Amino acid sequence: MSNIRGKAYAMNVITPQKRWKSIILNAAFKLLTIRFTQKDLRDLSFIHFARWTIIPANGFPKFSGQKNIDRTRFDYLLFESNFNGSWNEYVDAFNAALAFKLNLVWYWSENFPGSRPLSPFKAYIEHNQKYNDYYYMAYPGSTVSDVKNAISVAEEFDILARHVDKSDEDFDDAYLRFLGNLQNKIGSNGGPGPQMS
Amino acid sequence: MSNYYGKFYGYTGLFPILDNNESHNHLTELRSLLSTLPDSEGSLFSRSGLVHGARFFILDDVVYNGHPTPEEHLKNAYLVLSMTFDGELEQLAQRISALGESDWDKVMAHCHSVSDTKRPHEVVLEQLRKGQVTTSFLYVDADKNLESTLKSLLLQRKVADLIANAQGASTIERKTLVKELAEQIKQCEIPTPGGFISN
Amino acid sequence: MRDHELDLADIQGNILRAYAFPHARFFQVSLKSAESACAFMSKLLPLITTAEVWPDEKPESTLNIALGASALSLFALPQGTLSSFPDEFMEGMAKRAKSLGDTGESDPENWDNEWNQDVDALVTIYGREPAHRESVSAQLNEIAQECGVQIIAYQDANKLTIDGAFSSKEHFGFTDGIAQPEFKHSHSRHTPGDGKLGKHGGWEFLETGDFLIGYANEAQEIEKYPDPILFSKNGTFLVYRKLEQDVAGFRRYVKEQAANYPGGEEKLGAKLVGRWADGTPVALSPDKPDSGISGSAEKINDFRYGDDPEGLKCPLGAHVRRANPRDSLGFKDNLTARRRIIRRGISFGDYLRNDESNVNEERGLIFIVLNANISRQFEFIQQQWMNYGNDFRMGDESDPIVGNHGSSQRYLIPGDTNKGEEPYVCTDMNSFVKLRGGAYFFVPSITALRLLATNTVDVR
Repeated sequence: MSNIRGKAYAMNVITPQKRWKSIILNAAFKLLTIRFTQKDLRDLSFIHFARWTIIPANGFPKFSGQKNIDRTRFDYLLFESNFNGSWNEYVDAFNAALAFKLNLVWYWSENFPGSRPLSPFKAYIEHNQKYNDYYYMAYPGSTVSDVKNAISVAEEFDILARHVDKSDEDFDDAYLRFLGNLQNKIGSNGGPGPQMS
Repeated sequence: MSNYYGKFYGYTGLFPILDNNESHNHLTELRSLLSTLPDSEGSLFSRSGLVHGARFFILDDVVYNGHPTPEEHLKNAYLVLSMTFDGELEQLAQRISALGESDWDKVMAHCHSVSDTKRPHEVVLEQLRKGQVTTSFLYVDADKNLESTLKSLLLQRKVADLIANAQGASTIERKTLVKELAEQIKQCEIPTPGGFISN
Repeated sequence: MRDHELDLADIQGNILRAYAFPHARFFQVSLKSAESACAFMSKLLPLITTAEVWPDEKPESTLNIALGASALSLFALPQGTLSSFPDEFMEGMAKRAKSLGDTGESDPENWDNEWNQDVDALVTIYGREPAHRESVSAQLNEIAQECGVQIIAYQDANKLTIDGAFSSKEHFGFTDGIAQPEFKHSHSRHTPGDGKLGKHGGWEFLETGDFLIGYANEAQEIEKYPDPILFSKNGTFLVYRKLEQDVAGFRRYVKEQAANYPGGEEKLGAKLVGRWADGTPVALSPDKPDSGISGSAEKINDFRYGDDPEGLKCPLGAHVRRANPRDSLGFKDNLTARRRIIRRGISFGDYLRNDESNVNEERGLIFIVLNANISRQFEFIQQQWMNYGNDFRMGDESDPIVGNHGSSQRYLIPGDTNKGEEPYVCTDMNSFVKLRGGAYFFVPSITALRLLATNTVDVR
């Protein structure tokens, strides 16, 4: 019953948003889905995924048999993320590197204080965060970087393996290339990682 | 407005929790159930073979942020399920159904569900569809499916050993080591998802 | 914009600028009761060295005091003040051992006896000569007796003497203390590389608030401070760690590995540390030390890592690159500028002779950090950059020099494969540094000391 599983942290934040502002936010999301504007998220390199979902005021799922249906006054913006590191680190890094883009997304939420300065932003996230009752991670001992490295390793090894039956010279060249491409990608991982404070 | 990012599917669903009655306090029982639900190798999502990450949290109410926003409350408590997995929703639903009686049923027993007149694998799919809310923006920093990812992680460990062992070795010795590892990898099983690996 | 000058008389010395005296003594004091504690503060106040600029001649000695969480509970401080101190400070370093990687031999249960108890106060004395240190120590002892406080233990430390002369090196043989944060209102000499990356190249000052409480910091705010601001402003936090160094082990390891490493012993050492023994950064001179660089304050710290993403010059996991990644983590140095720390360390024990005849003597570094936020600065570096490697894409690997390797670890020195150079893997690396004890302290301003001495910290 924790937000943490190994090296991964699962965060959920749900904030109220005026219905007309959702239209603006959806337009902002279209901008963000263009790959080059996602470069920042990728460069932060410890975010496994980030997902924003707008639950419209009339959009809470309805099942037959429910006595009461929810029709709320506000839309609700649900943010879910999976990242490596501690909560403090993550929010800090967002504030240090992505403040403008975060404002684009959360500006429309009620009472949002802005992504700078840091403390009111942290307080807002904390206040609106919902803790996980259950969290599953398929590779809890490996971070986003570990996985990226591992995939490179697999690709490079595949290439190298095809050279074992070639001449010694060819194999030596291939092995050198293999080393050059992988020398910074074989950091050991798989364990639970550092205990966060 | 996409649930997809490359070959990944980002699912978010809200399932209204059953109201309490004389015999059951569903909210409390569900919380209790979730707190002990297995979450590592061999657990529900591990056995699906497709899920990279999944979480359940209970949205018992929305949060009041203070003036000037007026206070409001939800009439239902919801079980929220969020998952990132490979492929399509239908595939995942099929895998979960194929597990038979599982933790999925135990959890959903506390929530409103679709009627169960359809065939078993369609019940799970219908339930997932009914509770689904559409993602507005999804970003996933990953490239490969679960199986490839797990295999790559295993290979990464072995390649690190190989590089250390092959240091200063002759070309023949290196060729042998590489050949051996390639064979080993072909034959070894895909690690079970959900666990830690110690060296 | 008016540049506010700090009230130097209110700030304790050794924060804005290092004393750099060669002889030190650290006293652990038990304050015993609120009365004796107040009396002690009163008697010490006139002797505390402040940050005021010294006239032409330096004093013979300096004296400063820092307080542990247990001391704060002893003074009759309002609960609101106590609760507003940061969690990590109130919990203390020993309780946070797991998250700091202080396990195995460095576990608190293996610490020296004097560190296995709450330390109310740390009194630090520096002297230009050993005799000066003795005379202030005598004074301190007298005051302690008068006030009824107890000196539990003390630790001597001295700048290393190598071949009969003082050296800036630490025990492993590397020049230490080169990079120090240069922040607005610090009084250190302006040295390129000590600040943060400038907007148009070059370097800029860091914000004061990451080093002194009550000022704007890199996150562009005045962070939550212990209440009331009158009590905490101009104070800071101090981290004290007695690090024992296995010099014989380190020398032996480097020699063994260098037998197979084409670059030789000196270069292997440099690739572990990130600087040559004389301080030349490997990032500027990867193949040999360069006295033209190491001898120049303008050059010795003026470098970045942006042009070395694969660590061909300075390995990604080398000690100085981990301790201060500069622009290695992307977004210029936005992710690293707020994690700088002031270091005021000083060695203890004698340099290991070449014939190792004094190998069984204790030696190491009294590692002292000053920062305004222990968890965001010191603890973060220790947890994320020293004992872990994810930010450098190196998985679980820890720092080669100070990391707690536990069982054997590997360290890879990247090779320039375009030139036919293979990487070199150092294997079976054990730990070279062991923690013998330490604690977190609050360094009060002079105002705070006065408030404590007169017991006048108000409830809000």
